[in-house]
Formats: sequence, structure tokens, C-alpha cells
Amino acid sequence: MSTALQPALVLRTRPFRETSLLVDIFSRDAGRLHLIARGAKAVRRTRSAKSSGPAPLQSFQEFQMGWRGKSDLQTLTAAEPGPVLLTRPDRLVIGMYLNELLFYLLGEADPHPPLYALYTQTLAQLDADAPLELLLRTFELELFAALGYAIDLSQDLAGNPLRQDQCYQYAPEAGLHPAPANSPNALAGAALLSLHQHGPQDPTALRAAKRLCRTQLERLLGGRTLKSREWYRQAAPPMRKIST
Amino acid sequence: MSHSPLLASLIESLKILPGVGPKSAQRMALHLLEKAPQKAAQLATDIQEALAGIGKCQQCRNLTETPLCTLCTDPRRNASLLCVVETPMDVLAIEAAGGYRGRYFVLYGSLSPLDGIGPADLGLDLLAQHVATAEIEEVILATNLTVEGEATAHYISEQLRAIRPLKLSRIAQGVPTGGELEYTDPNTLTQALAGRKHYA
Repeated sequence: MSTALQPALVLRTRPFRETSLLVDIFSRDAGRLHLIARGAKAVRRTRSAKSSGPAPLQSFQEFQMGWRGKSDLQTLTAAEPGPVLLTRPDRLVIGMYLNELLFYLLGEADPHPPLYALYTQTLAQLDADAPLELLLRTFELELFAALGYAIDLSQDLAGNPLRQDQCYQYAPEAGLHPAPANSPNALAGAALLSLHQHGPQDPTALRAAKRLCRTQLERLLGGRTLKSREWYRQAAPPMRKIST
Repeated sequence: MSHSPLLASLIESLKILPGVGPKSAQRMALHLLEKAPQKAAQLATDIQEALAGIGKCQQCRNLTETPLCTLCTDPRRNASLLCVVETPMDVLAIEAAGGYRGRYFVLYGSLSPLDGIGPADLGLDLLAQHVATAEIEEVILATNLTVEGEATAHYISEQLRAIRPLKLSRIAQGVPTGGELEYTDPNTLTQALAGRKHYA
């Protein structure tokens, strides 16, 4: 029995045998899945002028997908193309960064419908001219929360509420602890409180969020470097102005 | 019946070819051994010689037996026009179509973070160097019209723009020859309308 069609996006495709593709998807109701799309590679080659045929499986386009099977590798049975959410060439690398995060951090078959909603919304906003840092930090913080690694900004390690005039350091396993203002990676209490209350809105909260997210990501990725970030950093000066 | 070790190894090797599964590989192996041993020896030599003798062109990275390929050394080709493609197959396709008289640069792939492919893997240093020194007026970005191909085209355009002022173009996207609008997918149709040409 196939599942009922449900919305999903492609995170990655890889060629498999002669005509098939291995597809990693992020679906709304079943989370990240690893599927085999039989004959999908042939689709790309044989789409002729006359027949529109099935659309190629591409990232950043929402599909209605169905699959069946019991094993680890289920078979894709349907992929009806829906709207393309992100087409802006200069923002594709950012979308790829989101895909890398989801691919490496989400467990298989672990559903996260709210994160899925945020992902599609973030892609659409990337396509519009939304401020990049805000989008990325919001997504990263939500991703941590969905994975059960939310950063607790309501209190420090000892259980005391954060203070405006105190500086803190963040330890990934434990949490925030008071630290002298000149210590490495010190975060101002005021910025953390603003982040806690209003999200990564004002510039200081955004900077604090960036530090926190980077520390948290390093731990969750366990030493793996993200290619999209490397590539973004190497980009020419006009691209480098905005950082991930 | 299990194969002898040498035969099993040959079958296994033949399976790397596109379109060849276990059954065809077995047929090919037996054919080579039984029916055409001399031609099989020739095939073995050819493969070895090709592997040793064919490399990448120092200028465009296309496959060649000489330091510079015939396309790069041909004086009749327009040296001010450079077409950037993903694979040597793309060069062959454009050459077969005819009509293009410029030169090429082959990337051997496209930027794809989840496959671990970054700028360093695509020979972009060589491309930048080439564009900085050679008399190129226009670079045509002819990477595939996939997400990866678009991202690659954008990345290259940013890199090259930083080197010097240059005309950059992207291959057109739209309804194929013989195509009917009714059967064209919505994305292509949108692109075709957005990229419409003046009708003289």
C-alpha cells in the first residue's frame, strides 16, 4: 500500500544504477526519508517536446509525494510537482545550506511538521528579499528546538534569571554561565534577554544568536564542516558582505 | 555455478560500464574469451593506452592527448568567446549542434554541497586565471538548468565579475523546438515568457 500523497521537498538526489535515483526528502508528515525513485533518471533524458512527463526531482520545489515499502529504502510511487519556492540564483546557496542542516541533523522518519512549515516559509522568504541573517538564525534556533537541543535563554546554569548587566558564556552541553566581559565569546546579558523576549530582531540579539548558533551547530555536527558555508565564505567580495 | 576467480573479476569489471548489468557482463566476458580473444587483447591495450595518454587540456580541461586540446589550438575558433559547461559530453553536444565557434571550459560537475562538491573541485582557479589573462570578451554560462547548475552559474559570474569587466551571458531557457505550449511544464513556460525575444 502506498501512503496518501503528502507535501515534501527534495534535499538531495544521487544516481543509482542505470535509470534510478536515490532521493532524500523532507516530508511534512513523515520527516526525512530515504527513497528510491525507479526510472527517475530516465525521466530527465526522455522528456521530449511532445510529452511533459513527470517533472525532474529538484530541490526547493514542493511535491506531493507518495511512497511504499517496509524496508529502510522505500520506493517513491508518485511525485506531483507543485510550486517552486526558491529560484533566485544568488540565494540558492543559502537554500543548500538549509538542506545540509536538515540532511545531517534530522533523524530518519522523525516527523517535524512545524519545522517543515518554517522550512518552506524560509525558502519563500529567501526568494523574496527578506533579511538573510534574521531568516537563518530563526531557522537554526527552531531547528535546535525541534531536535530537542533548544538553547535555554531563560536562566543560567545555576537556575538564576539572566541579568542585563552581566556577561555570559555558552557551553553547548550545559548552558549559559556568568563570565567576565573580557572572556572569549562573552555574550552580553542584555542581548541574550532581547533574544529571549523578541527573537533575533535587533542587531545585538542577532549577533548573540549568531554566536550561540555557531557553537551549537559545531557540537551537533560533530566536527563535520558544511560545504555550502565553506563555499559561501570563498565567494567574491559582493557575496561575502552578508555572512551565514 | 560459480565463476573461476579470473572470470568473476572480469565480469565484475565490465559491470562498471553504463547499461551493463550482471547478465550482460557475463555475456561480454564469455564473448571476449571465446569468440574474440585477439580483439580482446586489443581492447585491453586500447584501454591502457587511453588511460595513460588522455588527460585534461591545460586551458579548458576538456579531454585531450596533447597539453592543449584541438579546440583550444584551432586558430579559426573565436578566442573572445568562452562557453562554460559541466561535462565533456556537453562540449560534444554543442559541437554536434554546430553554430558555436568559440572555445570552452569544462567544470566536470556543478556545485553541490551535499555531494561534497565545492568551487575547488571545479577548476575555478584555472578558469579565473584564464579569464584574467586571455582576450575573452564574453563568457557564456552553459551549466545545466538544474538547481546546482543555476547556483554554479551564479557563483562563477560573481567570481569573474570581480576579476574584470566582462560580458556574461546565460544560455536561454524556454519552449524546445517542435514543442507545444499545452504540453510545456509551467516552470519552463514561465521562463519562456519572461525571457521572450523581440520579434523583428
